[in-house]
Amino acid sequence: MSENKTHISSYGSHLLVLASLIALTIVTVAITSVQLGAFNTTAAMIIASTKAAIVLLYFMHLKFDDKIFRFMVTLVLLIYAVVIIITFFDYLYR
Amino acid sequence: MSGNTSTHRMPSYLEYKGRYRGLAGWLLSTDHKRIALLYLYSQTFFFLAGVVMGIFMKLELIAPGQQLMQASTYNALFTVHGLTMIFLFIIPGLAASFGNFFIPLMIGAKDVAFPKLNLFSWYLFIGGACIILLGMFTGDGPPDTGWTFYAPYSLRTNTNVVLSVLGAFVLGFSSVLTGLNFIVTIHRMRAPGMGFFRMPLFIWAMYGTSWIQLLATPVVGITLVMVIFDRIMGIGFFDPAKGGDPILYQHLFWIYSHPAVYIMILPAMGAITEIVTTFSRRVVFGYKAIAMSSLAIAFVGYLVWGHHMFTSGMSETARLVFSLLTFLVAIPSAIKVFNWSATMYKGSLDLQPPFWWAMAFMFVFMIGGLTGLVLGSVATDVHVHDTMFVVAHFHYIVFGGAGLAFFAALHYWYPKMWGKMYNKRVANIGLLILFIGFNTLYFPMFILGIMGMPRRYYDYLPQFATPNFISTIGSWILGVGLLIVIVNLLRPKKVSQEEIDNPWQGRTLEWKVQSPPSLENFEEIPVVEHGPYDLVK
Amino acid sequence: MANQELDVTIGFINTVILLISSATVAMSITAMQKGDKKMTLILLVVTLLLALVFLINKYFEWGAKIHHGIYPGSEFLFSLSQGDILFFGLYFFMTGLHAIHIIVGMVLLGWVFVRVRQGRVTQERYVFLENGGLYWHLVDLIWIFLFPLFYLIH
Repeated sequence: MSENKTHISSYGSHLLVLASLIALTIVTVAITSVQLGAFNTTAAMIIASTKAAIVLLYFMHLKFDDKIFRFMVTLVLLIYAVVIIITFFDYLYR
Repeated sequence: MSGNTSTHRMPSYLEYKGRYRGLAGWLLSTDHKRIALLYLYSQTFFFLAGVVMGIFMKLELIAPGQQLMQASTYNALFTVHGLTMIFLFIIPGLAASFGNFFIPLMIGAKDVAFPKLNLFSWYLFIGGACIILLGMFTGDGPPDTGWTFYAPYSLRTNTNVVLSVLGAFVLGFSSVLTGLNFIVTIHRMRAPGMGFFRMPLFIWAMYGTSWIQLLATPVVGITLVMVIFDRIMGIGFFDPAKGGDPILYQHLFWIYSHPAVYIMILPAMGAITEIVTTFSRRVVFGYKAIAMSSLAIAFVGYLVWGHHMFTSGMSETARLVFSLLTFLVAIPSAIKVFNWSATMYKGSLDLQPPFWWAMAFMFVFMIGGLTGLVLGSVATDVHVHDTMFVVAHFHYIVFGGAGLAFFAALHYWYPKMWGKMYNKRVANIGLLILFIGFNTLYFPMFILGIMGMPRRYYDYLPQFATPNFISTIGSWILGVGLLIVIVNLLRPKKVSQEEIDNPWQGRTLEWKVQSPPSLENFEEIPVVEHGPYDLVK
Repeated sequence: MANQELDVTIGFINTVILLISSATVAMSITAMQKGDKKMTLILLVVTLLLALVFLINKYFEWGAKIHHGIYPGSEFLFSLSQGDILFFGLYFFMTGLHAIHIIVGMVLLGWVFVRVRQGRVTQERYVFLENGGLYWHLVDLIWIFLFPLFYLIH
C-alpha cells in the first residue's frame, strides 16, 4: 500500500510470531483439557482473540501501516462486538 | 476553472467513441457515468414493474371479498412487489445511480477507484435480478413468504424460495463491492485541496452509506445461505423441530435489513441537502453537524434492528434496550431536517421543480419519521405491529423519503446528466398530482392500522371498506402523476447551452464542468480552495 | 457431549498447519520486498502445499464422520439430541464454508504465483501479492476462532 515508507519485516520476526502463535495454541488446548466450566470458554476466546490480534498486527502488518487502517479495523470490530452484546440482551434474558 | 466550459467543448460521455460501438459501448464501458445510467435505467424499469404490482394489489383491496385474484396469488404478489422494490430498486437506489455518476464529479476525480469492479457490480446486480425473475417462473411458483423470508415458514413453504434467496444473495455482493469502491474512491481520489470537510454533503452521506453496505450486507448474505442450506439439507439452524431458533433468523435478518433502511435513505438525505442548499442560494447551515449526523445515522443504525421484533417473543430486556436505542436515531435525523429548514431561512428561494420535490420529500418524510416513533415505542408498537400502520409508515419513509428524493435528484441533475431540459411546468403539475395521489393512497392506511386491519391479507372485514376504497383511488392518482412525470422526463426540449451547463447556479464541482461531462470529467484536475457551498465569484 | 466426537489432535495439527502457512505467506512478502524472486516462489509453493495438506486432513475428518452416519440430514443424526443435530449442522456448515475459502485462497495464491513468475509482480509493485497474503491471513483468522469453538470448548 504505502510504497514510499515500506516497513520490511525480517524472516526472523515472522518466525518469532509463528512460534508465539503455536505456543498460544498449545496453551489453549492445555487449559481446555482441564474441566473448569464456563471459565474454559472465556479462556479459549481470550486466547483466540490474542492470536487474532497478533495475526492482524504482524502478519497483516497493521502495526506498520497507516494509522487510518488501524482506526478502521478497530471501529469495525467495535461495531461487531456491540452488535453481539446487544443480541445477548435477548438470549441471556429470554 | 469555471469559465472555460463554453470556450472549448469536449465530446460528452454520451457521444464519446471508445473501443466498442453501439450497445457494447455501454455494456462494456467502465466509465462511471455510463454505468450510472445503466443502473438508472434498469432500476427505473424494476421500479415501474413494482408500481404495476402495487396497483394490482390495491385493486384487489378495493372492496371486501375476492376481487380479481386468489389469496395465494396475492401472497405471491406482495412478496414479489417487496423483493423488486427493495432489492432491485431502492437498495441500489440513489447510491448506485447518482452516487456512481456524481461521486467522482463532486470530488474532482476522473472515475471511481476501481472502474472494472464497478461494471462487475452492475453485472452482479443484473445477474441477481435474473435469478429472482427465474424463481418466479420455475419450480412451484413465486415465493409467498413476504420479502423478509421469515423462518420457519420460508423453510416449509413449497414455493420457490431457494432461487429468490439466491438472487438476493448475489445482489448483496453487488452492494458490497459498490460500497467498497466508493469508500476507496472518497478516501483516495479527492482533488487536491479537498479535505474531508470540504466535501459536498452528498459525498458525506454516500460515505456513511458505503460503510453500511460494506459491513452489514455480509450478515444477510450468510443468513440467506443458511436458509438455502436449511431448505436443501435440512440442517435446522432456524427450525424449532430440530432445536434451531426462528428468532435467530429474525435477528440476523434485521441486523442487515435495518441498516439497509439507511442505505436507502442516507443518499436521499444527501441529495436533498444539495438541492436545498442550491435553491436557497445560501451556504448550508451547520455543515459539520449534517456531515456528522450522516455518520451518526450510519452507526446508530446498526444498533436498533430489534424494533422490528417487539412481538417476536424476544426477551423483555432486549425490547427495552432496542426501544431506547431506536429513539436515538431520531436525533441525527432531526438534525438534518432542522438544518435544511435553517438553510432555507432568509434564503432567496428559487422555486424550481427540484426544490418542490425536495419540499414534498420533507413533508412526507416528517410524517414517516414521526409515525416511526409510534412504532419505536414498545407499548404502542404492540398494538399496531403487523397492521396497515406499518405499511403506511414504511411507504412514507421509503417511497415518500427515498423514492421522492430519487426523483428530486433526477430533476436536479437531469440537465447535467443528459444535457437537456425537461418542461418545468409539466414537471410541477406531475409532482402535484403524484403528491396528492401519494397521500390519498397511504394516509388511509394509518387509520386502517389503528382500526386494527392486519397487513398482507387479500380480504378484510366490511368495517375497513371506506378507507381501503379511498386508498385504491389514491393509487390511481399516484399512477397518473407518475406517468406525467416520467413522460415529461422522456420528452426533453432543446435549450441553449448556458441553460444546461449550470441552470440552477449550483456551486459544487459537478456544475463547473460542461453538460453532459466529457469522458474524463475534468480536462485538468481542479484545485479546491474553499468550502463546497461558498458563494464566490 | 457432541464435540468429544471431534478429534482434538487432528484439529490441533490443522491449526498449526494453517499458522505455518500464514507465516510462509508473510515471509514471501518479505522475500519480494528484498527482491528475492526465487525465495518468494518457494514460499508460495510451501503455502499452497500446506493448504493442500489441510484439506486432505479435513477430507479424512469429514469422511470418518460421514462413514459413521453423521452428516446433515442423515437419519442417525436426527436420532440424536437436538443439541447434537445443531452442533454437527454448524460443524459441517462452518468448516465447509471455511474449506471453500481455503480453496478460493489457493486459487488466488496460485494466480499470484503465476504473476510473480511472469515478472508482473515485482519488488516495486507487489500489491497483488500483498492482497493475496491478506486474504490468506483472513482464512487463518477464521480458523483461529473455529478451532476452539468446535474442538475445545465443552
